[in-house]
Amino acid sequence: MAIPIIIMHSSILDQRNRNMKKTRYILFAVLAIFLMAATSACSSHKRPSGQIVTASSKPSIFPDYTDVTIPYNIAPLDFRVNGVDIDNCYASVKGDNGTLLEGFGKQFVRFDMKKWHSLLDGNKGKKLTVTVSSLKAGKWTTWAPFSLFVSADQIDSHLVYRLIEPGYEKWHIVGIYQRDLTSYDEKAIIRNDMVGYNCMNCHSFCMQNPDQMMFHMRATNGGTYIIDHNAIEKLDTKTDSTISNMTYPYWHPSGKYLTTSLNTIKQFFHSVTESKMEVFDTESDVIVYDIQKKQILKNASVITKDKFETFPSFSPDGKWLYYCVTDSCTMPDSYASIRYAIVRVPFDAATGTIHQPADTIVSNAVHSSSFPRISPDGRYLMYTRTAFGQFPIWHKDADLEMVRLSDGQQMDISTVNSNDTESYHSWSSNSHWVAFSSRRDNGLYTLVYFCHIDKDGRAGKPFMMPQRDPNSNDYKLYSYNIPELVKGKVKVSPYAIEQVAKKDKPDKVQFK
Amino acid sequence: MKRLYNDICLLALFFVGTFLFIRINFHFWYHFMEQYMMFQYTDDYFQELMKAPGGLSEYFTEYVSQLFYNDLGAPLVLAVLLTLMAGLFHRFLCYCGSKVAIWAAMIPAFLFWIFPVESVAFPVCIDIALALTLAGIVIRQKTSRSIYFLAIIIVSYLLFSPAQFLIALLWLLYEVLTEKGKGLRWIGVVGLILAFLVPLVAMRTFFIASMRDAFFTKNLYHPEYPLPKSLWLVVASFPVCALLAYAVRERVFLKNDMARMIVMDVLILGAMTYKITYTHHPLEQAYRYDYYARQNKWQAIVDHAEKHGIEDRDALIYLNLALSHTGQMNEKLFNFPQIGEIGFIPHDAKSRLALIEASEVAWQLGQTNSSQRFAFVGVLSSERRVQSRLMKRLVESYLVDGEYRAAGKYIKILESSHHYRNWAKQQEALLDSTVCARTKWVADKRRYLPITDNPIDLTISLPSGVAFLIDDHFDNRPAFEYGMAYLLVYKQLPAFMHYMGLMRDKGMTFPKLYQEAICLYFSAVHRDPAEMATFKLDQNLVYRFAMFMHSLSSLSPQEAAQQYGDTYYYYAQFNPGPKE
Repeated sequence: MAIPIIIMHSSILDQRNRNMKKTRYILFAVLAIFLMAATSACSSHKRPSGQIVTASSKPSIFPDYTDVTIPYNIAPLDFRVNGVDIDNCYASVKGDNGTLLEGFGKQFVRFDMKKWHSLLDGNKGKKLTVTVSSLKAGKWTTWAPFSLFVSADQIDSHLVYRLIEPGYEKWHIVGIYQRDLTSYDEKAIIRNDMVGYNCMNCHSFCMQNPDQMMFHMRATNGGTYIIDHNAIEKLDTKTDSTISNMTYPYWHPSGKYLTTSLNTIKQFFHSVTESKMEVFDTESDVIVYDIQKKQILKNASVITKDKFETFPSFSPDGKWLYYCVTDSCTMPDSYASIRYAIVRVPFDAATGTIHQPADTIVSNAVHSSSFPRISPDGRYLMYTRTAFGQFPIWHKDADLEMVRLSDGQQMDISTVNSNDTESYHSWSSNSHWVAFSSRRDNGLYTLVYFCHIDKDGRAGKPFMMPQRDPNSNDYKLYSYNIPELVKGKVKVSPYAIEQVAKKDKPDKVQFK
Repeated sequence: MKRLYNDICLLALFFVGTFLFIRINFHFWYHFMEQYMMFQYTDDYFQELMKAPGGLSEYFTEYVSQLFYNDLGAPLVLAVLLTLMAGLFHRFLCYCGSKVAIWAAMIPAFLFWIFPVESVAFPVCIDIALALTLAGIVIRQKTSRSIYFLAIIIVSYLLFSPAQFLIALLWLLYEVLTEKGKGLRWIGVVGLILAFLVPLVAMRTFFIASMRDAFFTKNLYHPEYPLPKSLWLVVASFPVCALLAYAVRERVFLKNDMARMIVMDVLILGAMTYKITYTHHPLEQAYRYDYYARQNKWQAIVDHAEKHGIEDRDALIYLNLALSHTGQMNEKLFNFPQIGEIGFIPHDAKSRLALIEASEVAWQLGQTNSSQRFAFVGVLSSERRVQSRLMKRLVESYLVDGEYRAAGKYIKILESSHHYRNWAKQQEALLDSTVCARTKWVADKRRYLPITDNPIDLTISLPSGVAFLIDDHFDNRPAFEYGMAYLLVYKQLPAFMHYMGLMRDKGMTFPKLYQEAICLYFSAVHRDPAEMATFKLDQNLVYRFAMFMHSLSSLSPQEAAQQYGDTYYYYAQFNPGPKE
């Protein structure tokens, strides 16, 4: 009996030993994997060493963040050092007060988020000096330093935009997104794959308030959606007295009114390579909509047959209605000669009326103007200028312009513009930052840029919205459309919007 | 042992059968579908996929789909996946106590023969689900097994969605059908509930997605179209087969082993042979021609069409394009049944194939803007928003336009893929404007760029669009040939003669087809021998036409076809032609 017991006992022991060996192997394997990962991460943390070549020129980086003015609350400006076969990058960012932040990376320089914010917080209103080094074929090159100017003016914390493939007559995935500018978080507010692959556009906020917004959906579940905190209203805005649904919107600062244009929009495609497509109106008007009464106010609307009116906006004090206007003409025959002026009429919020005639703020003698936007402090009017037409995204000559309203002085903001399209723009709530869309990077996909406007109306060099991986913009097949700065996170749930879109019948607006 | 050997042989037979089935019947279809997936070797690409449920499964799907580029790639991949599916399911059935023959386990895999899929996302998902299920049911300890499955249901949703449904279902079946599962059946039910709850929770926490995408992801089938019924059939086949196999586990249908094996082999072989022989994809010819077009094998299209005829409109569009590319349009246009404008370019291109065709035709005609536009829409409207062939066309069109930065963006994207990397690298040199201008194909394209702006859409009004191209560049041979082909197909001889007059004035020679049409014009429309003489036609052709006219009333249709079937005037006389 003893022998079987011994055999049994030893076989149990063998089994335990085998199990322990197995466990040990597994642990070793996990540890090895962990060590490899850690080593790999650390191998990108290289500082310049050995023989360093000093270059006299500033580094060529993407995005171009050299000598830009940035808000103190922006996310880290990770960037790529341009060049072939770069093995490693390094950047040191020194504040005037001596604080230092280091950034490392293989393909691009990455900064630690917490340390970055700490550095910027400690250097508000001051200059940062950035020195970049790159390692190629075993040799380090240190480039001439460049500056980052940290403005004491913060930028609104969130940016809302539409992501859409750029152009033509079809869309696929379209969504309205919000991006936390202090980090890299991007979340969908609503996406069209949730509501039948329709089109959604023209999101707009009341005085950068994330809790009060509106946007349109077209085709499936079509309607205008007005969101006030968590209440979502779905509207059918076409009436017998108006030519179309509401189109380009803008809020009255009181939140009680919306002004929008009504447009019959057409497009055609050029056959010559100098131009791609043209979007034009065959008719357009401007209306004011009373949100509480659900009425389009005839006495506050500009509905004419002899003129095209479009792109309305209110002044921040709510006393003026601005819009673009031109004489009506046969379209598309006159597409290359149509030019819009910016005018304004007084608006009485108490009675919901406007008074003609309109004052011309920007003439259409030479150029065409669109997207009039007044800074929240009421001092400046920014608009998009192009040779003709009112859909400037397809015009390479489209640039941003700014007028000081107190005296009509044209401000020089040429630093903001490029040789390519600059188009839609929006102000931050403190009037010191402008977000705008630009095609300067490849002439096709629109990206978001920010620029600082100081108290004297001078514009700083614009910088691209930062991304965690600077290469991501290269591979992205979407354009950023209608960038709107908002003061906080948009809290309405995408599923709440989805529910309303799918289940609710739209309320019909009246024309009064 | 004998049985195991037979099972292996049957699996091998199934593997070979699947390989042949795909190779013979869907070879070109998968070549076509390969364009709509582009695996990219970038971190960004991986991260984007992982942001949605089922990302890892999709990553793997697109990785293996690269093999579709190769002639044998798609058959091999599908043969492996479906054989693996059959084998793994057979193991599962064995674990459930069913002494089931391998052929029963093949049923779900065989459904993919009946309902072929555009991408391997679904078979990959099923294989992963089966593998993870098997990995779990070998765990003997009940608590460990439960923990494993509950955890794997959550993890597989995040990484391999919607595999978690099948895992939960199979786990429940296992616990119900086996003795080992006693006491765990209720946990199996919990697992199934969890499989449905996880997407709902994930929607409110990690992802923002529509209900359908949260449950089924975007990857199994095109998200804009309804889920096909075959999806449910395939999923249901697993539990149904398992239950059936379990129900008959004690029954013996044929006592004799040898007889049983022979019957099974014959049944399987018969079913596979039938499917291989009698399956025919309706667009097989169009996809074949699309493949040849991608390879610039235009003559192969003509040769195939001459041998096999034309089956559908899309094939005809490619054929006419091939005739233009090979300079045979005038010679062979009427050798094939022409159906009018929609045989030259798709009308109002919206579908996948139509957008490719429209872009190719516009490119050949020299309408770079249109080609670019259709290519662009073709890319953005694709399920995964990639279309490598059309992206290449975008690169080419932007290089011709001189929009080097836009070309550079697409070059960079194509460089991140395996198949298009080399091509993209070669185009990089052309981002230098001087080099680009000196490059022959670019210079040739730029020579014929439109001069007169017009808003005409070639797919809405081909003749008007082509007329502008001819007016701008009379020597634009493809545009001219397409224009004249249109006029001749619709028998618009007066309009045709306008261009013949211009050809005459430029001292150009007339191909046979045009001369025959000229003869017909001066005979049937406008009798003017003096003017006809100015065209200096080949007298043999004129004589032959005269003979035709002389003998027309006495010839039977067969005789007329035999003697004059290769002429334009035969077409004009006997073919009603398309309605405009």
